[in-house]
Amino acid sequence: MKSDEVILSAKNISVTFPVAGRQLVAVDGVSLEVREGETVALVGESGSGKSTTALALIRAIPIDSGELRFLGQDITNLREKDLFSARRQMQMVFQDPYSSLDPRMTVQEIITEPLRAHGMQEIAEQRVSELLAAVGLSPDHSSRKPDQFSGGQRQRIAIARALALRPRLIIADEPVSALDVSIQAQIVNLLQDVQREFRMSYLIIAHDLGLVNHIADRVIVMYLGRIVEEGTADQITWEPKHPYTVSLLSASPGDAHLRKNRIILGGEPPSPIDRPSGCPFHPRCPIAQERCVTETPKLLEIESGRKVACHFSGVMDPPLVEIQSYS
Amino acid sequence: MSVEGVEVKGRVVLEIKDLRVTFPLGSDDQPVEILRGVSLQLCEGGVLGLVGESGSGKSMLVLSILGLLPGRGRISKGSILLDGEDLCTVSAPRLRDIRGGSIGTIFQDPMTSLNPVRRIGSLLVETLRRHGSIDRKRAKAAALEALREVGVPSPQERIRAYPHELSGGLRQRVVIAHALLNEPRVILADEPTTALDTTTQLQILSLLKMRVKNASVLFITHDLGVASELCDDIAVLYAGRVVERGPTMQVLENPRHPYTAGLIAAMPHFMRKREPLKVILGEPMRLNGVVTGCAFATRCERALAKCQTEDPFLQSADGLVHVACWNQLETK
Amino acid sequence: MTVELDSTIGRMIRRRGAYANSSTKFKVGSCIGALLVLLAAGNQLFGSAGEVDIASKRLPPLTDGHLLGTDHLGRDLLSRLLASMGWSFSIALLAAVISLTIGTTVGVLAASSTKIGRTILTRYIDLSISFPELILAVTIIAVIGRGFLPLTLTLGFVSWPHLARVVYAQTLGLWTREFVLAAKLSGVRPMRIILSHILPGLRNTLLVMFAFIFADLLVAESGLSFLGIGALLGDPSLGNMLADGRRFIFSSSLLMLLPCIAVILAVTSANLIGDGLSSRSKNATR
Repeated sequence: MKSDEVILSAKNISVTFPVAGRQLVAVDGVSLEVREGETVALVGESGSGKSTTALALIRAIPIDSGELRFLGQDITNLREKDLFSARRQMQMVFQDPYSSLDPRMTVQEIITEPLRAHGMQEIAEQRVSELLAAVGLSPDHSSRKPDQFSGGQRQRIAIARALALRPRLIIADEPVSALDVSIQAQIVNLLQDVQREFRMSYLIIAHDLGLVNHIADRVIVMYLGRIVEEGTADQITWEPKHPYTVSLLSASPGDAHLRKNRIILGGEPPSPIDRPSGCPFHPRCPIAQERCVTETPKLLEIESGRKVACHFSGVMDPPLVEIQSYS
Repeated sequence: MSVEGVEVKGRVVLEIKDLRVTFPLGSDDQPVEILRGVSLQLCEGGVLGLVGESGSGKSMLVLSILGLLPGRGRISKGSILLDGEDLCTVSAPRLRDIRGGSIGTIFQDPMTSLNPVRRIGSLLVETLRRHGSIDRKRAKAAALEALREVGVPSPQERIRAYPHELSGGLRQRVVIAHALLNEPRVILADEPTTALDTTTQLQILSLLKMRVKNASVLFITHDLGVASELCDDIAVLYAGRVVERGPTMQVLENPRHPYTAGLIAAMPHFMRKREPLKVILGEPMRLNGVVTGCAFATRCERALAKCQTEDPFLQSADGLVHVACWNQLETK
Repeated sequence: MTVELDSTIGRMIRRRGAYANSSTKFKVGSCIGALLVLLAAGNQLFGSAGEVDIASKRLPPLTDGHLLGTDHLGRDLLSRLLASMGWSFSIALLAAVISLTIGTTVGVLAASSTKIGRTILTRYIDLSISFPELILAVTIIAVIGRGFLPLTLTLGFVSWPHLARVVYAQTLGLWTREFVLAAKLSGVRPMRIILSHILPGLRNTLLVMFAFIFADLLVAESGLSFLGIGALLGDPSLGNMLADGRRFIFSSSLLMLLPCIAVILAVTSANLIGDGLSSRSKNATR
């Protein structure tokens, strides 16, 4: 199902916001690709710029520099009305299903809204029942309003809306982190089911590395607006090269039996307002040297599809040990 | 505290016996039970994790202990004994003494639990002086020391800061310092790390582990993983009732209640790749009337006919583990 | 990630408590309001404005078939009062509709347009607000004259800027909501978003504002007419009645008291309805 066709490619994307008279760099030269049928995860903590990157990639906020191509078309600076046809192929699922659904609309109206916008009223009726079935809701839910549903059911409705136009790419910003634990697994499975059924690519924003390891093919780790490491989900989980990835893995709660060592980082995730010199991670990095303070490491491709931005990449031991069977 | 298999429990500090809390939420303001007979024991120096999803009533339990039930909530039955003193029946002034005195609290969002218009220092000094006869100067020194102990860098400066001038992690450290000020017997921690980033969460958890030696902790969380980091024992709450309780490792490795097992299986795990996650069907229980039988029965794969009609009670399954289920899972 | 995971029960409790309170307010307000409107409308349809009959002026209540007596021109006081209520309520109601229409249009447009459009429109709103309403109203009336229609238009025209500002702020907020972003990212056109998300989202606010504006304008109408710059001399207006009754405040105090009570009741009822609606909608959106 996966092919090598690149459907979304970002080259050196930067996003800045004016804050108190200064330009705040939220996303700093991010390059990434999403291929057909693939799931890419964007991981980081607050202030890492992962959500801003997602909004820039879906053209919800303006891009300051760089190039963004979607399905072969350069959409970096397209105006809203020229974006219309691209919008049909990329959809978004938000974190909080309590704010992403209009409380005054019925489920039917919510799901058909994208269809009506693209002049597909005729098939709307039929597609609503298909979509409700696909996301595991019953057809007689279609006349109800969101406040009659639980968080998990609302997220199902949001996913149905994202699927309505049969997009090629869905960008999902923390799609399960606002939900109850028992419901998270349902939604994760649903996302995987509909991906198989409708053949889409996912770009998933997340902070939970366990989830990412489960759902993603490739993982991109961000820190302070930059990509610090990229690789397959297994590479990131079992052979992390960047000290930040190592720390993040080691900090994920639970899984005591997998853990070899544990690194407690000092300090806190920095904000883009006061960006450290050199490598942005150096004030918290357990292995930082003088060079890290002055020289910003470049994101280098160490093997095909595997990139790290660290002067001392791979020095730290992976924090988790791979155990084949888990009882 | 507990070591597997052997009972070496310390003295019980906080004991909750068959606590029932009702709110007039039903049709015609019929009382609905939000907590349906919760029994817990918190031992000296122990950390008890209370794990539950939204609507399980875990926050209501905290508020009941503090005597701060909102609206027309009532404790209809049961008792909350702190060193033998029943908090359900003590006077309001005594309860105020206990809050911030024998009981320290840490809430999820430090931004809402710290008064935004007061400096950190004045808050700490006030709490110190309200609960003990100590002059302002000594109180200030103690406040500085408290901040230093929870790892607040340059406390001299931070003591003059307002809450919004600190980062989330620092704020939570201040809240912890505040909770520890009067050397409480019990600390109630309600989702203290949920609002924090992963790396900050680990900092706070290890701080709690290191600093909270003399107090007993009731640690409330929705995340079994977080609970396993810190807690000696775990109690799983579902629909206002403890369904399983026991030493952390035993509960996690050998869950006996299908709900506990479901929660563990539903966590996306580093090992299980690609195959669909095991899910608990249906939605978390909404309490809105009388429950007949087991509240989990409608979502349970192992439900028997008996589960629909008879409410299971918490009984000893194996030494320290207690389970409320008619058809518990076999131990491995 | 700041999600309150155990807020389910808390939300239920809050909603329950506030709802009980707000619905009492709303019920009481609507009962008073409905009674007043029914009386006024009933009189408009079946009653009379009261015939002038100088011979039987200022009769006390319950004489010659006059339930509340007569006024200084011998008109039946009850008929006169009901007719005035009808007249004054109509002006306040129509003016509030005008105000709401202009205010909503300007506010929504300001919040939905590009940076330049937004600047121009908000500056215009600010300018209008900074100009004293009363002086503006008196000036307009001086130009276009007194009476029902001029008064309605004037009051409608001077009262919209405040509403526009509220609508503007709320619309800006709605544009940042995720469901609006979701619609935008699906390619839904701005006009369509305004119709299907923004206006329905404003509905509760507008209802509340409508009740409050109605109350304000009723007072304004009575005030202007009382000063003699609103209704024409013979018009049945609560303000006119007040002005006429002022001279007999000690001898026949009902002449002034009754229109006073009518205004107070109407304003109270509108405020209660507004309050009830506003706390109800606050709860619905939480």
